[in-house]
Amino acid sequence: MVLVASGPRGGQVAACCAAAAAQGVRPNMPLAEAQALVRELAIAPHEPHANRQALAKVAEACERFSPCVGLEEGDEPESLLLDISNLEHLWGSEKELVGQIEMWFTSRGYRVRLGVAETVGLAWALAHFGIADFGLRMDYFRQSEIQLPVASLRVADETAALLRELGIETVDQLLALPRAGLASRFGGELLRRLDQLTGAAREVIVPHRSLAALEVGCALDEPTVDRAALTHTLNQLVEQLARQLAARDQGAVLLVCLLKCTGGDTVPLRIGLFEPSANPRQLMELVDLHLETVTLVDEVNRVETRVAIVGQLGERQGELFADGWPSDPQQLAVLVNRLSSRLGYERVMRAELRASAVPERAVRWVPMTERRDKGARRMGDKETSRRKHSPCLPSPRPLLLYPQPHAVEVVCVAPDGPPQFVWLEAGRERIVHYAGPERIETLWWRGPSVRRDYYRIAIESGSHLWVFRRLTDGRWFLHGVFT
Amino acid sequence: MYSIRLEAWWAMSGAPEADFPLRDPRGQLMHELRRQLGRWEAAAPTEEAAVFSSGATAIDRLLPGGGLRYGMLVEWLSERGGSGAATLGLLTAREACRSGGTLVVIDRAQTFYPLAAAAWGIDLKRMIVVHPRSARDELWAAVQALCSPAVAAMWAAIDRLESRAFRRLQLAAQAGRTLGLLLRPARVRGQPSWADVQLWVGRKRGQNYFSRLEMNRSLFSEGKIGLTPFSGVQVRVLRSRGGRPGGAATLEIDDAAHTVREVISQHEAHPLPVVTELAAPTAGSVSARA
Repeated sequence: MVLVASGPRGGQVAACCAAAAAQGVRPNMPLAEAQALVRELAIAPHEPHANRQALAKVAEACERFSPCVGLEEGDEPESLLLDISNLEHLWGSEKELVGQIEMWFTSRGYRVRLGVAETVGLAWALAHFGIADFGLRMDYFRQSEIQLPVASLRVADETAALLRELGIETVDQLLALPRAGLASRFGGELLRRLDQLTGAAREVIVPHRSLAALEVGCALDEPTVDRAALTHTLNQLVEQLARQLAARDQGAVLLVCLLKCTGGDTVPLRIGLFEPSANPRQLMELVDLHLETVTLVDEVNRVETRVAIVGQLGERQGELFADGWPSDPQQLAVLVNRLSSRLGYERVMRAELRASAVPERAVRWVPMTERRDKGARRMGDKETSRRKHSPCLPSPRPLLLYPQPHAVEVVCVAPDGPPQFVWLEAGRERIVHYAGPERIETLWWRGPSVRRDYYRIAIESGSHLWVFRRLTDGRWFLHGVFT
Repeated sequence: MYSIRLEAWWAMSGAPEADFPLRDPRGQLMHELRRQLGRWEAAAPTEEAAVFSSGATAIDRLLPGGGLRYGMLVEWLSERGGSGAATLGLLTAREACRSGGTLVVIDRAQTFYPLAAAAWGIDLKRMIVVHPRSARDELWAAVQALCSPAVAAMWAAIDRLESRAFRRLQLAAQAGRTLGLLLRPARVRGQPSWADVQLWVGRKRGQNYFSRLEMNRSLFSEGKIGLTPFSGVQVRVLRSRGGRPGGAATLEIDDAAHTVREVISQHEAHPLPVVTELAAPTAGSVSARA
């Protein structure tokens, strides 16, 4: 029996049973070759999605053994990761717990290989390379005779093959080599996996199913628009949530309060925090600030509060702000939370530069309370910016840039030449000095076309302005002021 | 009469009195009273705070103590946009944030351009920009930022500021030991101010201060219109708590090289000593104002 994954020339063998393997069938072998080796070969399609779902079901069932069960990372996970720290006392001993897990699987017809260690990397390696030795700690591992092959590091096949060619067969040999050399030859991935195995880099098990959402609600005895009553109710609900959060050692990152009105409408209050917090006073202060900005039209008869996003307490988003300045870094979080609650979290931002020559697209505004998504990368549009005379010089940008360029009247010497007079609010101004043009053009397939010739001009009254001529129609615009 | 009028003008313009003998007893009394007032006005708790540069040594020379301190409120007045006040204010903020600390920019008009700020050396990772909707929110945000110990400098362009609100900003800056930088329109000149230092910034029209860098650049205009010199910026101290107003400096802001230089030309030399020498030749030599 083989499972066949679709591919060129009829498909490849994704997995095979022991009987087929005995006859010479191997994974990644072309199907035609497998069929030549085994005459009556049963073929079934390989369904990675169904496999994943089945594994997820098993993960849910394993929650009886550990509250934190995750699938291994990757497109086609084959292993489950269970966090069994501090759970031995429930089962008597760690060995007893592991024995129970094995019995559970075998009683349901699964063949399972277990590995127990202090780090995810080491446990994975032990489970996959068949060493039945439980409770292995890193320091014992180093002293023991166990030789783990390099393939147990979860690196790409090419890297493992290259290491074998170089004569490095085991993890011990790798650990003996200098790190800088490894990084330069094999990249950061190998070092990362080594660190995950030894425990130098932290690897977290992502729970397959997140814990139950924290939600509390309360129906008011009498519908009301009285802010004092609402504040008091919200206070009680927030305190309840804060207690639950503290018990889990977690903090709220996004708190949502819903004020349900008698007319059927719901008024939401979304409070985003700069860093996770379980402090009821801080949360209530932010809820108060937000409540001040809300107008209540209808009477409220029910109040619900829930924590939409949680984070571990002690996590800091703004580590970059934390060093040097002689004050408690917590103070910055307090300021950001206060400003965001009163003004709106989309009005308290940090600026990130993008790779775009178009001035208004060169800056991305990110709310301070938005969690940085490490995996995501924004693709900035890469347009060209050419200076007519000297492309190597950086071109100055004005400190004041209008969100929308203002149309202005300009008189030029020649139709495509530099500007001579400009009409502003105060009247006609003679241009006594100019620098440019700097041409900014976008690649037409990247979106709406931008073709501008920018000039930096000094007018008689002394101001320095940034104007451009739009090449599509020749109109002039004032975009910024060097103020 | 002529000599007395001259002395009074000289005293009011902030000349170092030690260089100029005061013969008039009323003038001496005025001088003594002014000195005492200066001592009382100086905020005592900031004496031990560290002094840092305003971003331009020419301006530092005009300030009491040779620089600024945390907890001060500095007002930059300018007639219109394009005068260079915002840039000089930002350079001061950069100096204030050098030892860590956050810069908070309150920008109600939403015209602040971070790319230019980054080019001038502002660390965008240590900068928060706030876009308040109303003047009331703007003031509230400014007070919150000034009060916060995590903030090193707050930069805001505020047009209208009533006295009570101004006082709240000053107290918040002192409490939070934050440098407050306010960009104001020139029309508020002469109005009561709670700022520790008030500076007026204006572009000099028609003055011949050449920017050598601009002239040497090949990309510099096909050159036919206006191979005219780059104009300088004048900074004048209007008010200075604990210091002496009236000082002025001329600077050149190079937006391309992102530098600020002091410009000294022949027109800056004060003609007065020559005149006083003629008026009172027996008084001995009078040192020229530096």
